[in-house]
Amino acid sequence: MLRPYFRAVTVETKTSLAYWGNIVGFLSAVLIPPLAVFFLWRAVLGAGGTLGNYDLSAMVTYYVVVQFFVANTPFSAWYEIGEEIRNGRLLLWLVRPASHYGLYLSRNLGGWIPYWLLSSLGATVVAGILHRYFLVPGEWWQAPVAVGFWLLGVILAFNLGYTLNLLAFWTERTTGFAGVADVAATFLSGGFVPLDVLPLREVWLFLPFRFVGWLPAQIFLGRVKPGELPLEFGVLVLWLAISVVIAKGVRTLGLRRYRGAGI
Amino acid sequence: MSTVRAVARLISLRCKWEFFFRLDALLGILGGAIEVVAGVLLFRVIYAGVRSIAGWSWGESLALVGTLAVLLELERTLLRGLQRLPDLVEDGKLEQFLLRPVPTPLFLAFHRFNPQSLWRFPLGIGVLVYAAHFLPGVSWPHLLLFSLSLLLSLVIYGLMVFCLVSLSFWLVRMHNFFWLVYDLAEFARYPAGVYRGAVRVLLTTVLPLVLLSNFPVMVLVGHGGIELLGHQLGVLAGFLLLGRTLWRAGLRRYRGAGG
Repeated sequence: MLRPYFRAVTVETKTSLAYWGNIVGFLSAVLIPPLAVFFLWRAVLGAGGTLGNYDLSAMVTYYVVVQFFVANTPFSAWYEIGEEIRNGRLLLWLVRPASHYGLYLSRNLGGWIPYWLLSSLGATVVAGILHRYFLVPGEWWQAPVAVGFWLLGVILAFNLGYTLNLLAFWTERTTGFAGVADVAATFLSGGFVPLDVLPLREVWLFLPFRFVGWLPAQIFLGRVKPGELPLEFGVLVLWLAISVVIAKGVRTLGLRRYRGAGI
Repeated sequence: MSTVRAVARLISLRCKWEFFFRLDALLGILGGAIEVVAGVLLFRVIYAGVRSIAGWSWGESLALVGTLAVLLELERTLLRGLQRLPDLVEDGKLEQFLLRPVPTPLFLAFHRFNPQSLWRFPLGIGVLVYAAHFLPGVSWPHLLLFSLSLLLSLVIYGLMVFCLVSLSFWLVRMHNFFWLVYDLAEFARYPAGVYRGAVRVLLTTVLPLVLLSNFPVMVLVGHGGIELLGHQLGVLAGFLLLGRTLWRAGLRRYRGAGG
């Protein structure tokens, strides 16, 4: 039953790997921003200052980790989803004996796997360059649990992007929506500024985007106690369920008005 | 009946396609606003605890955010056509441009003039006007120098992108390499004072990211003058030479095969 989805994962992984230079180019997203922002924070916190709960080491570690998570998250899912609704090729997906959502999720994950592997290498290099400031997790479970939360956050982000692409049933093109969502989601997941030092932090920490960047980074930093993890996991699963229901609802409504005409 | 509905749908699709571009522009403003607000918020959070960052005041840092936003929008509006070069090389369609009786790099750069991006232009200007409230020493001569410096920054940035896309003659697909330039622009977001020693030299010469946004602001607030413009001109000349060399070498390699 899952064979088509596994196949989609492997095909997309191979497609990504075919252009290795393109993957290497993506490394800049993981390497450069944390190095650039390091100089800023060294100037601000270098003399032993703190901002909220962050000293220089915590801030540098936060940015290295959060940049890896946020840069490797497909917030806009796949522009092709919206484009195929517009040009009528969605019909080809509808006649297949597999779920449109499942296939695109598999393709997306498969396409990203090589990027994730190389990016983890890139993040390790950055951590090595900034080793005087980088905080290695104190407990063995912190890094794998952080990655686990982030992977579920990736599915949550995909669901958001998938739903936005489905708006093409009504607006024909959704690249504008997806572009805005990309920037907004990066901000709301803590990619620009740690969410807990922002004004109105309760608002940002209520939204689901924190699961993509801020929360995994907090777990990595050892700021989430083991006893708090089940609750966080439950909230994440709840957001995942809500996002799946919304995506399915939007798809059902959209398909009712879909005529398969395209330009 | 279903055929009539399908035809009606086709017509409405075309109409919506035309309308879409306005919607896209509006959404672009929203995206740009989030980016600018994020930049301002970062400095707001920092300046809540400190009076200056490496000698830069709140007003100067605000001006930096506004200047970078204006610079990036100008690049998106005027020079986005350069990004098409890798596709043209990959598909073997560069001849469409080589045959025109104008310098190909210039034609490439401007052939996708995108007025939609201008809608986002007031965001950066707005931040600059707001920053001016905190910068009492700004005068008209400073504004003139600022404009000149910004223009030089735009040309340098365009040449950097051109040098990067010229690598497409050697690499088959390089979409993600565009991100290299935009990621490198991260260095332009922060005050020049935070970079010291060899890093500062690197970021004002070989990789002149700091120069792009910081120099216009420095001439605006009177922390430098003609000598900064001279520095920019020197860097511009270097990138012009590099771009020309890469372009010529690339054309010698180009065979027009692709698909």
